[in-house]
Amino acid sequence: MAMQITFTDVSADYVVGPIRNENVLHSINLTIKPGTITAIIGHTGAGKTSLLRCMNGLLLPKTGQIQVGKYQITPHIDQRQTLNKIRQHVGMVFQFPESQLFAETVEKDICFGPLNFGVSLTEAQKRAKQTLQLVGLNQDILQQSPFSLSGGQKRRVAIAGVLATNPKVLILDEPGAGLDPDGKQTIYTLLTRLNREAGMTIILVTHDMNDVAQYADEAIVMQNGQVVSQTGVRELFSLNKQLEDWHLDLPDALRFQKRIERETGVNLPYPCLTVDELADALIKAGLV
Amino acid sequence: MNKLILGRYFPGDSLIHQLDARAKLTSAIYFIVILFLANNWQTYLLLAVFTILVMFLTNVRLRIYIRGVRPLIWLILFTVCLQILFTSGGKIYFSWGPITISHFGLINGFYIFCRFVMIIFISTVVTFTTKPMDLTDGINFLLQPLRKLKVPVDEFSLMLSIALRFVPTLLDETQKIMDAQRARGVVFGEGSLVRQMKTLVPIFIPLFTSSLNRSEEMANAMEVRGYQSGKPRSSYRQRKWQLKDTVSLVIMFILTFSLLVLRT
Amino acid sequence: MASPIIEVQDLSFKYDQRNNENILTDISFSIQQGDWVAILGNNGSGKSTLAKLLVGLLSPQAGQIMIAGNPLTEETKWEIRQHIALVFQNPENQFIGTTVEEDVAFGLENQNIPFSMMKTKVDEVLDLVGMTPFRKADPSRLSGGQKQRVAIASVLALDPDIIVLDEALVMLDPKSRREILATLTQIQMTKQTTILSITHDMDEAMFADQIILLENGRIKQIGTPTEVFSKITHLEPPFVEKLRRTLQQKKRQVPEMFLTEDEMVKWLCK
Repeated sequence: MAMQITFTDVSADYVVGPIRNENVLHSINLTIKPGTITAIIGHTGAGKTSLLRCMNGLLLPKTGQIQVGKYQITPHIDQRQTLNKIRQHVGMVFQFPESQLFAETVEKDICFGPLNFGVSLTEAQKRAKQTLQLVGLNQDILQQSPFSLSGGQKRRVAIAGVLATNPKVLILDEPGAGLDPDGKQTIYTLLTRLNREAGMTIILVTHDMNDVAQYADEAIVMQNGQVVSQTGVRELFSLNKQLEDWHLDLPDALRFQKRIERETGVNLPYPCLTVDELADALIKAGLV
Repeated sequence: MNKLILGRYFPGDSLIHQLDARAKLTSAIYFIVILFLANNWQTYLLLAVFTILVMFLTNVRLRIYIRGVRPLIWLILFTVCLQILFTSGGKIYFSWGPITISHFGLINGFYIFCRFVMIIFISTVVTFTTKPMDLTDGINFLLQPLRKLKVPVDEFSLMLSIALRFVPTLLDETQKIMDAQRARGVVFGEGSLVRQMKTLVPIFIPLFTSSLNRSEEMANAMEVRGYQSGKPRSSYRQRKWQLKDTVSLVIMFILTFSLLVLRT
Repeated sequence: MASPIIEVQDLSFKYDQRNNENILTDISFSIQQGDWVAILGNNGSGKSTLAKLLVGLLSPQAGQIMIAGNPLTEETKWEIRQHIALVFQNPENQFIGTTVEEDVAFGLENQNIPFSMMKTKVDEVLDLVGMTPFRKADPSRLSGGQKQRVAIASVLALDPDIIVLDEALVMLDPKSRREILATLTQIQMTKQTTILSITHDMDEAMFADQIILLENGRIKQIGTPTEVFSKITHLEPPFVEKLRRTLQQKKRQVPEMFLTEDEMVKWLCK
């Protein structure tokens, strides 16, 4: 069953304890197609994290409604059952997810989610083994304390803990933040595989336009709590003027392409998003 | 969270807000001491008028002050009852064994009630109108004499101010961790007490771990920035003693004098 | 050549004495005043430990660190910390003050500097990092980039000869990272401040006069970006180098050596 996520006229406040920020999101309308990788882009405070929190009912809308597959989130939803169902299908990996680890062993930590959702212990343990393999970690860390692992490993264990609930949609808030290039590469390879092989819908927040260019199909640009654009990635990076207005960077390849075009006076045949494309374009244009 | 009135700060720019924390703290403590000089209706009336005037000057609504009294109301009523029941003298309205309700008892009970309420009101005036940081500074100042007794007063107040500074950070962090565990299917505030206690473990352990990490990093940062405990430090936060602060103390003395004249 | 501002000789370190494995082994290098040096390496390569050793938060089991000609020891560390400052990865955990200006003043307070001098200094460094409009703000409510600016201002207030950035820019979005890099470069130029940046951002490493590459606690390579990126191929390279290698794979004639972006453009223009 594919799950489509649709926002209709959603607005929301951000509330933490006594602090309340009005309208961190307002009049949001968007649709996320199942089976895509969608990147959410925007500056700090644009409402990206709030948007993510809405998608699995951690933040309830003030007005409007959110449709997640066959479930509906409305401002006065009072059915924990529904929210819990949604959370089962929509897995959420927070920024620095390693900070949510708590159990004595890696296995117990991964099993925590499935057990909460009513999966049997044997099934949960089976899933723990599978997901650990999926995220590329060795089975012999199952009985180790999660606190004894390295930063990159901890993050993968945390992601495994979310994957173990078998979500159809996976939401990630800056999954690569703070990791070294190898660690980041591992995470993104995993996400691409989950998307290609398991057909999982992936929604992620990132600041790095290279990641957007390389991995995402669709991009949602947010500004001051509103969605200002939702397009395919290739289309997004052809919106020269708007990108400037939104103060967004270009991916390295495109930035370098523009510089070359400016300084050589030769126009490359198409806009390039990755190194490979740029190399090919340079060859085609006869510059090398 | 919003129910907690005691110890909260209400931003503002009233005359009372502008007073120096040291002046406010000293005056408040002084007021509580001279409260015990009052012993007839004239003196209580004077103090009550003074308290109401000060509260009025803070521009904080009366309703909020009254809410501040609420958590302590049972303690107050209990004490008042004891006063009423065990004081004898004057006309007796009711008597049963050692328990009497007498004229003096009623009056004393009423005085005790006023005294309690005024103590709470005056202390909340200080906390409502003083930023926590300024309050820490003020406390630091008042505790200075203890340094002679080798009490680490400065360390104590730095500790207090760092703790205050981390309140919003920890609040944020708690929210994040709760969200993360909620996304993994935890439902808070449901089921039996034991069940609810169990849901706290996945919050407290991460919170504890991250707080430990934070405090270690903070200690490192402080050390690198040259903080050595016990060494003399200057202060960037300048406390300015103004004319109004002196005036507030003078008013306190006038109040004492009036009390001395009026009391019997 | 003037004597180096940092000189590290045969440094070895381990956290646990019972353990045979060193976090750092036989580290030796020297850094000249006013240079920008990038220390590269993956997580677990011992970079952060090296930073802690350099500011005397840890003491080595073997070897010696000389800062501005003085050996770093338990006795001299307070003296030496007036020359060397450290900016951490997470600025949130290094804020002590409740407002930006108070936090910047913390280091000055520790030196018992009178208020009027502190005020001048705080004004100066806040201006330098462009945070003057936020001086009364609560540091924990700022954006990541602004927080790190405050942290850098706090460090600059102490007029250090050396600033060590312990992955200080890693968490930032690319735009803030570039802006802060520009600010730091300017400070490096005008004040002759030595900057030691511990990072795994290769584009930042391109900035450096010198790169020290750590691997499993040992120095794998020291040299200019050109030397390091030409020799070490398994390192995730900066973008231009990726392009050069891709073109090479596609059997094109490209220069054998690593090129900077300017050089690459020039070469394409020929």
